[in-house]
Amino acid sequence: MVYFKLCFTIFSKLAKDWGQQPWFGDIIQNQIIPACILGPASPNYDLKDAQTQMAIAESAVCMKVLFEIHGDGLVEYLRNTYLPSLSISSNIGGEYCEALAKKEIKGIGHLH
Amino acid sequence: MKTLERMISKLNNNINANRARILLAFNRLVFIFLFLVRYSKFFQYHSEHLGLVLEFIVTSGGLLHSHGMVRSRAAYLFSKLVRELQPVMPAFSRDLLQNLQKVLFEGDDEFLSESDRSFVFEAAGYLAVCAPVSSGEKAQLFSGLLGPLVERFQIDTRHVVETPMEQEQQQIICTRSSQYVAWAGRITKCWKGPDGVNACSAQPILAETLKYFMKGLQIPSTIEARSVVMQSVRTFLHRMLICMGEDILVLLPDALAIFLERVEFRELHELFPLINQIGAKFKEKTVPLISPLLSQILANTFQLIDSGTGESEEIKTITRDFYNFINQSANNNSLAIFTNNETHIMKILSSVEAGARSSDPVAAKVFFLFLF
Repeated sequence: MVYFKLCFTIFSKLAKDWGQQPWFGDIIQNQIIPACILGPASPNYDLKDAQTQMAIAESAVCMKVLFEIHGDGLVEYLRNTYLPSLSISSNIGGEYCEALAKKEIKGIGHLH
Repeated sequence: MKTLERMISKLNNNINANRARILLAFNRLVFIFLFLVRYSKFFQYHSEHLGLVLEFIVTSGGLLHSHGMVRSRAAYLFSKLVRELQPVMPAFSRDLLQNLQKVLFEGDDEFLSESDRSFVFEAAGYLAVCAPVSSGEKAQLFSGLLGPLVERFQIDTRHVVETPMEQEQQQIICTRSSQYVAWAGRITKCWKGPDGVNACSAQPILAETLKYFMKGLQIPSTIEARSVVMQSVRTFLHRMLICMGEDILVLLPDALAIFLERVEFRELHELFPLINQIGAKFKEKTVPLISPLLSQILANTFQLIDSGTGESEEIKTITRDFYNFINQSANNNSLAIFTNNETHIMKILSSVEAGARSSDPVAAKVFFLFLF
């Protein structure tokens, strides 16, 4: 719980400081989203490890926060551009996007 | 209390008794010290008996005892007693400080080891704080405690720089110099923040002491043993960040720049906590201090990270230190450190992105914390 709170505290600061700058949009697309989606899928992640699971939960928080900033624009980008580029089926991609838009953090975490 | 007096008197006699009984006397002495400290609350309500006990401990019964084991034990227990009985200490503080001069500043490691002497210095700091005198006079008491250490530090560091000598000798002198700094740090343990320091009018003395110690950082890197001195000064800076207000900010850039001169795992690993502590204390005010140093911090960090394989524990540690530094900067409203250096920002973001995919889950978690 402490870390979730810390996440939002830092997020608020980042949104204030960097969120309005044009170059940050590219960072979200090219670095943050791939890290959140592909990071937990990497073979380096031992899904049985408790600390890894916490890291995955943080990645879910990260995506939810992005959704809160960019809303449907983010969902559209994921559904139509990014997830298909990873050859993720439209069913799974759709389920993920729906969870991102509608569910709380816990609901998204298991999809990561 | 008569029992106590009898015990002390008997112990005094025992000390002078024949050699066969000496060991027994030592054990009894240590026992009585432990007894006194354990039941120290008694003296809070019967401080009229405390003078006798304290006199016994700081003289030939304890700190000046002929046997090292007794002196060592007495040093720790005396320090504990002073800290625990601080409310009733004012009545004894001046006399005790006078009696302690020999223990503080005379004798070698055989007489009192570095760590045992630290206890006495710590107690001396507490005694100076509670002395029933004006703040100006308290400042003088602190000057009397810190001054000799600074003076000896200066003599030693100058000597090691100016006189050609063997590495072994350099090591001995640098170790001794670092002890002076460590003891000075222990004196300041009596303060929990700048308010306590101001109550003793000791801010200028601390600033002066820090300036002199920082000159020790000028020991050329050709003298291998200088790292011991640097480490002690870094530890002292941690203390000063607690004790001093914003006065310390002007002194920090030079110190940090010197710490960043050498690209070495341990130096950098121990520097990050200092930078984080500065950030936690001064928040946004840290930005102008750290921004000019960011290039060097990044250069040193990436040089170490790039110097080996990602599996090395040292590289993992430095990588994690680096992410913590970024995360702490976000917590401290100091992200401008990075936005002021736009040329570096992509490198930093790529690095933390790599951290999110690394095999180090702790670093990966810090990455996500940092991003949001």
